[in-house]
Parts: sequence; structure tokens; C-alpha cells
Amino acid sequence: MPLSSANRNKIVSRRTVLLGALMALPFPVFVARMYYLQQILGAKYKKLAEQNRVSIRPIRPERGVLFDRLGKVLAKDKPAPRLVIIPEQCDDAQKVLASLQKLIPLSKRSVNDTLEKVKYRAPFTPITITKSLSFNNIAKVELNQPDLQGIDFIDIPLRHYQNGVSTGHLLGYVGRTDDYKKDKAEVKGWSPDFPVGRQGLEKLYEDELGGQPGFVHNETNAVGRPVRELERQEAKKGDDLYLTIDQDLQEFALNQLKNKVGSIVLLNAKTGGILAAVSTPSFDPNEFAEGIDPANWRELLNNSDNPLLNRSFQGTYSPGSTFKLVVAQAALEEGLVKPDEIMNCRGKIKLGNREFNCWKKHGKVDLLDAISGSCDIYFYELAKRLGVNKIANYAHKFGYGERSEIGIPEKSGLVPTTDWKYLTKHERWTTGEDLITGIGQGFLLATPLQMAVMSARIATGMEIKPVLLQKYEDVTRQAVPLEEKYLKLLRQGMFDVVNSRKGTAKNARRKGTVISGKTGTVQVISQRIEEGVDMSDVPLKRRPHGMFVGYAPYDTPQFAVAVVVENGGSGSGAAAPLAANVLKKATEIFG
Amino acid sequence: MIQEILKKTNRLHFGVVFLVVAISIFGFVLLYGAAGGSMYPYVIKQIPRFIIGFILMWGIAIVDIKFWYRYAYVFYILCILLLVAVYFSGHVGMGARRWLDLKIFALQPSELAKIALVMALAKFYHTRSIVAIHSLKNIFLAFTFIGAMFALVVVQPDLGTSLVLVFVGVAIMIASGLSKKLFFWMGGIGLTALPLVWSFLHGYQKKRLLVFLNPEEDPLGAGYHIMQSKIAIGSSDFWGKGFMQGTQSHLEFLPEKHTDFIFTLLTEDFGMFGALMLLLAYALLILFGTFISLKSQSLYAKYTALGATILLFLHVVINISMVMGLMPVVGIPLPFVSYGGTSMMTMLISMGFLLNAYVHRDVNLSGGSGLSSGGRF
Repeated sequence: MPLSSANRNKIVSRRTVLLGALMALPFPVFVARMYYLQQILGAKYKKLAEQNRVSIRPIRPERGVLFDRLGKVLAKDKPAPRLVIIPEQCDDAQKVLASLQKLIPLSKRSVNDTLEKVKYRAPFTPITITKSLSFNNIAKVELNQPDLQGIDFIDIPLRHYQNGVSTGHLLGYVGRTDDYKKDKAEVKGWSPDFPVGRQGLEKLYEDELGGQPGFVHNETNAVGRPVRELERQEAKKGDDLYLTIDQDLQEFALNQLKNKVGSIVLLNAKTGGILAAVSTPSFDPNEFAEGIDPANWRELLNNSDNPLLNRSFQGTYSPGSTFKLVVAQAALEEGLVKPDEIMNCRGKIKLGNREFNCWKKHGKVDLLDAISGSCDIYFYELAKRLGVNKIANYAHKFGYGERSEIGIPEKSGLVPTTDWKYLTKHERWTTGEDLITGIGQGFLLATPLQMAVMSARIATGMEIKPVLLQKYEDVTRQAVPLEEKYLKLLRQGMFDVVNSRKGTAKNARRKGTVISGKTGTVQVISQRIEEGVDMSDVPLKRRPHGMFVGYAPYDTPQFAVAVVVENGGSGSGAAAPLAANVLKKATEIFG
Repeated sequence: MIQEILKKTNRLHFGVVFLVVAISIFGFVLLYGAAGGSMYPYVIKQIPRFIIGFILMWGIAIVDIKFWYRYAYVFYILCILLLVAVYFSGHVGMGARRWLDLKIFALQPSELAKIALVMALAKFYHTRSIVAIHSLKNIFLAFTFIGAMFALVVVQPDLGTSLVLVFVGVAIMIASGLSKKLFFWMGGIGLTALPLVWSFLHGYQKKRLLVFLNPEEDPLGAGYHIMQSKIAIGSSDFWGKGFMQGTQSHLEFLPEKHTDFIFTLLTEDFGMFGALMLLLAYALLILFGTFISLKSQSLYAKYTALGATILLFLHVVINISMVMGLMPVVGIPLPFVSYGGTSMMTMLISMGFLLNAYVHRDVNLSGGSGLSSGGRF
């Protein structure tokens, strides 16, 4: 056939019809496919669609209550009202919000945010307008509620801390977890929206306090509104916990540290129960309940006094002269000194080219004089005889250099040894370092909690360990592995510190109880501030820290205390009176 | 002049116009439902697009076919230049470089490319005799027409559109009367080249293909679309769950329910009945298109009419196959129904050229190896 144009026409038409036929092919396939999906597999897909229609809502468990030793509530879930708008209950959300704005202060932003949500959320879900409303404003809104279409209040349980600031560090706070999968992976049905303990005891006892979430399975209609409850399991409330804390003492201790930076730890000397543990500056955990305001958070973070640091457990300080008690016990037990050995304090001694000073010229002192007058020369000598390794050995027996068994975030402090220095600093230990360790300075570091534990161990001769829960207080304690006859001498020395004529803490005497203790003044800069200098002339941050450890009553020890006042000037001036006040208050409360 | 316009308007294929309008209105209804019973935000934007596109379609239809014929290559070159421009300066949307920001509106040259390719190939085969088209040079040229555009679109990357370009190009080659042997060869080469193509695919494109083969394996990941779409279609029945009663679409289980997956929404709400109606409308449109091609005098008109019809067909079939789980997910919208300006414009413009062929069905184009002219080029 010749390839003429007429022929071309034929070919093109034929091809077009062919293509047209090809284009028709998929249509029956579509019909068949639809028939297959709907008629053959329809039941399966209907079921899957049904599953899509069941909504599962977790129920938040109530968090366990934290009680103090006498059953006073420290932390509890408390309903907090939220102002909400329910879109389907009002004709014009914009208008309602405008009239609401005239009634109470509402930021333009929160109004706009709300309107945005009204547009996109299901009409039956309440939309929060504001979380923080004063009582006055709540009353105003309630009064005008008949005119405010769709406006309502919903109570959301919020963690509330009855005495916020005083228990801030200790109890911590709750909030959304950063790593929900890690924290709550094992708890079935836990929703990321549920608060978990983020700090302090709330975090430590999360497993007990958190409880078990419940759930509701709802059937939802085409717009997602629950129409029928299919299944429900109620949430299980978390366990209540009784703490060893005494709320009144806690408040009292906080007030003692008002406008100061420092820490007070008060122990039940017999059980190790922590009666009070405060750290200043503090913060209010209630601010964290709904997510802290960014400005406040920045302020907490940037504050040079570090309010978020729990100084009681995490603040590490040179124990200063309070450590002389450890050195004395060590030297006595090792037989390197007799209690009546006399040493002559001329205010300084020389070791090689270096001079080591005492804070005053004590003249002739024996052991008890050296404790009550806090003579440095005497303890330089004991330290020289002992060497740091023997001192370290005894320090551990008093509870230094180790974390307690509470489990709360805590620093272990530092008890140096010659090996430690060689391993970490690759240097040999020097005799000079022996000497300053003897007066509790140099590398030594201890937390206020450890100092209080030392005091309790001296006072009772028992191996006291700190506890925070009442249920752990009833443990029988073993005697501390230290010789009682020498501990008795230490107690005598501590008695003299407060009650003798030459004692460094005569201002810690209180009526109604007999207090014993030991002061410590810790330099924060290398040069010693000369005796007689008026502390108010020294820049605050260069003033020495004031320390005091003590217990009361002297003959039947009941309470042990440690006080640290940062840059307080001296142990006797800044710390001893606070310790005495707290011990006296405790005596009064326990009767 | 006005008389001329009226005369030509009178010659429009009213079956095609009616179907386009009817399908679009049905689309508005579905978009109204997709927005939960609201004109906002879809319908309010879609209607103006339709009106502008409709006027454009009408305008294209009544412009003299000689004009389109004369400038067919120019449009093609212009499109190539735009695609190159997109490659170097295009706006990146959804991970692909497809858009050219013209300040007033965003231009997607790959859409225009489909139409320009149809026109260029139509003119190419119009001007060459059946002997000439079999010359190696001309076969090579035809592949260059297709290949250049394919290459520029596939690097964007836009797999869906580049496949459409290849299909429509090959379809016009088939219609041109090229020997069947050639297509068997092409098919053979194409199949052997598949592994090579696979190695050029992007990670997400490979994943889509793999997930398509077994969507249940990854129901919350890449298989989610297909799974939910199948649930929506399967859980409905012949009459559907009722307008705006579809649980899957309206409870937000189905993503993209207003764009690429609108057919699912339709099937869930209006059942197999609704879907059949829409399929029937498309089938009729394709049938009319094929007839228009057959009835046209000039080869150019035949090829453009057929090309426009095949473009429509490919969009419909790829989209519906995708939502029914018969094909991997490629981003091809459903003509006249899916929300989106680009698709609406492209389809209406393409219908404009179909109608243009119908209006000028009796016109003899000179200079080609056309039927009546008999001349050789």
C-alpha cells in the first residue's frame, strides 16, 4: 500500500481508536477494585474504620500526698480553676472574648490564641483562655457568667506546696518530663501530659507518688465527640508519704537564714531523721506547677547566689575548724597524743620556709583547750603526727567523703589522701597540706548534711545515717566504730566551746537546753583576714564562711545541727547563734 | 470581530464544556465537605481559580488554530527556558524545586510543559510525511522533544509529572502512525533500563514504591496514606456514609483529603455510586476527546486533541489508581476536583486546546503533510 496522505489518515484514525480503547481499560478495573474493597474486604475495613473511631483518653492519677512528721500537708494536688470557652456554646466567640476583656485583664495575645484555637479545635472541646486568675477576677466572671456565652471554669488538679519557699529544695517540684519514654516507659497508659517529679523528693519517690493512670475508651461520632463510653478503668492514686521533716522547724530554720546565703540541717540525733533541711536563697516550687514563667526561670538561673542549688545536700564547703573534732579523735585513737599533753601556741609555727598561723596566741593548751579555743597550732601538730591518710580513715567513719543512702541528689564531698592527690593531680602530698587538712581546709570538702551527721555520731556514739521517710527511722543503729571514751572527750570539748569561759561560741548558750558544738571559720581567699578587722569593711564575697556543728541537749542528745552561712564572717558570729536558735526551738517543739 | 467570537463560541463542544463545569461543581461540593461544611478555606479560593481558568479555556478555544500552530515550537522553547530558570532559581516547595515565583502568582512550568510538549509534537508530526517520520533523524528529534522536558522535570524532582510527559509523548508518537515495530523495541529498551531508573530515584521515591507493595508493613509511616485511603473506601458501601458523614475523612484520619486524596473522601461520603458517577463523567470526557480527535481535519488538530485527552486520562487514572492502592503514591491531583490552582489551570488550559481543535475541526493547515494539502515539507 502506498504511503499516501489518505492512507496516513487511516493509520492515524486507527491508532487513535486504539488509544481510545486503551484509555477505556482502567475504568472497569476501578469498578472491580472498588467492588473488591467494599464488598469482599468491606467487613475488614469497616472494623478498621471502627477502631479509628474509638478514642482512648488516659485518666490522670492523683499524686500521693507528702506529709510532715506530724501529718501536716506539705504537698498535695489541689484543683486550680481555669477560664475556658466552649465554642459550640457561644454564637460569636470574638464578641464574648471582647466583653470578657472589659471585665478582667486579658492580654491581646491570649485572646488571639484562643480565637485561633476556636477555629480549628472540635467545637465541644473547652479551650483554655487563661490559667492564672485572681480570686477577685474569678468572682467577677462568675457574676457575669449569664451574659458570657460559652464561658466556664474547669478545675485542673495542680500540685500545690503548702509552704512553698521553705520546702522548695527538699520536695522539688513536678512538671512535664523531658524524657517521658525513659521516665515512664513502664507505667502503662501514662500520658506525656501528666506531671512527674522533676526535682527533690518528688523525683526521688516518683514511683510511689505517681500512681497508676486509668483510661476511658469512648466511641466517637463523625466529628470526634465522645458519644458512648465503652470501657473505663479508674486511676489509682499514688502513695502518701510521711516525711521526717517538721514543717514548723523547717519554716523556723528558713527564717533564721533570711537574707543570708547558706544552709541549716537539723537531724533527729537518735534516728538520723532529717527534721529540717533548708538552703537559701530558695524558690517557690508552686511556680513550676504549670510551667514556670520564662522571666522567673531566667532570674533563678542567672542569680549569682544560685537559688536552684540545694546547699544542704549539694553545697560543698571546707568544714574548717569543725573538722578538728575528727583530727582529735584520730590522734587519740592512734595514741599520738594524750588528752593532757600541753602545747604552746605562739600564734604561728614554721614549716620549712612557710609560716602557718593561728587566729590568736593561745599560749599553753591541752586537748580540751584546743577544741574550745579552736587553736590551730595544736591541730597542725596533731595533723603532722597523723598524716593525711590516717585522718582520712577517721573522716570516713564520721560520714565524710560518702553520699548518704537517701538517694536524693547529693554531693559526696572530698576526703583527700596521698593516693588521691597522686592520681588526680600527679603530685606528691606535702606536709604543709597535712597541716591545713588538720584545720579542715585545703582539699577537704563536706556538705552541711555530712557535718550534721558527724555531729550526731559524736553526740550519740551511734552510726547515724540520715533518712527522710518516717518508715526508715525505726532501724536499729549500730555503734559507730570509734572509741567511746575519746568521743566523750570530744563532747566535753564541744560543751566547753559553748559553755566555758574560753569557748568560741558563748553566744550559743540558750535557756532551757544545754547546747554543745564547734565553730568553724573558713577562708574563701588565700590570705587570712587579720584578727580585729571589722568584717563590715571586707567585701561580702571575700568574707569567710561561718560554720557551726552542734547538738543538744548535752547529756541526752536529741538533735544534731549543722549551719553554714556563706560569707558570714565567722563561725561564732554568723553560724553559732542560728544553730542555737534552731536547737532551742526543736527542744521546745518536742517538749 | 465580535461576530467571529460568537460564531466560534457557538461551535464549542458543549458536551465537553458541560462535563468540565459539572465535575468542577461537584469538586466544590466535596471541598465544602472537606472543610467540615464551610466555604472556607477551600471553596472560596477554588471558585475564582475555576472562573479564571474557564475564561482562559474559552479564550484558547476560540483563538485561530493557525496561531497556536505557528507558535507551537516557540511555546516549547519558552517552556524549556522556564524549566531551566526553575532549576536555577526556583522556589523550593515540599522538598522539590518546582515553582517559579512571579510575584503575582507562582508559576509551575512543569505543568505548562505537558501542554507545550503536546503542541510541539503535534506540529512536528503534522509537518512530516509518514516516510519522513521513520527516518532516524526524526525519531531522534521526537525523543529529544520528550527527553529534554523529561530530564528537566525529573531533576526537580517530580516523578509524577515526568512520567506523564513520557506517556503523553509516546502516545502521540503512537498516534502519528509510526511503525509498531518501533514501539516493541522501545518497550524492550524501557524494561531493561528499569534498574538504571531505580538507581536514580530519590530515597523517598524508592520508599513509596516499596511501601506500595506492602502498605500494612508500615501503617503509621509511609504506608499511612494508602492504608487510610483503603480503609475509607472499603468501609463505605454502595450509597456511601452520607455527605460529610465519612468517618475516616472527616475525623482527620485521612491526610490530603482535599487534594490528592479527594477521591477517597468522595467514595466514603457518596459510596460506590458517587464514584461511578464521577468515573462516568471522566469516561465521557475522554470519549468526547477521542471523537474530537477523529473528527478533526488537520493532523495538528488531531494530535493536540488526542494529547489533551490523554493528559486528562493520565491524571485521572494515576490519581485514582493511587488512592485505590493500585499504584504507588505520586503527587498527581484529580482533574477539576482536587483543591489547588495549578492543577485546575493546567486542566482547563488543556481542555481549551481540545476545544480549539473542535472549533477549528474543518480548518486545513497549510505547510504540513496534512491530509488535504497533500504537500510534502
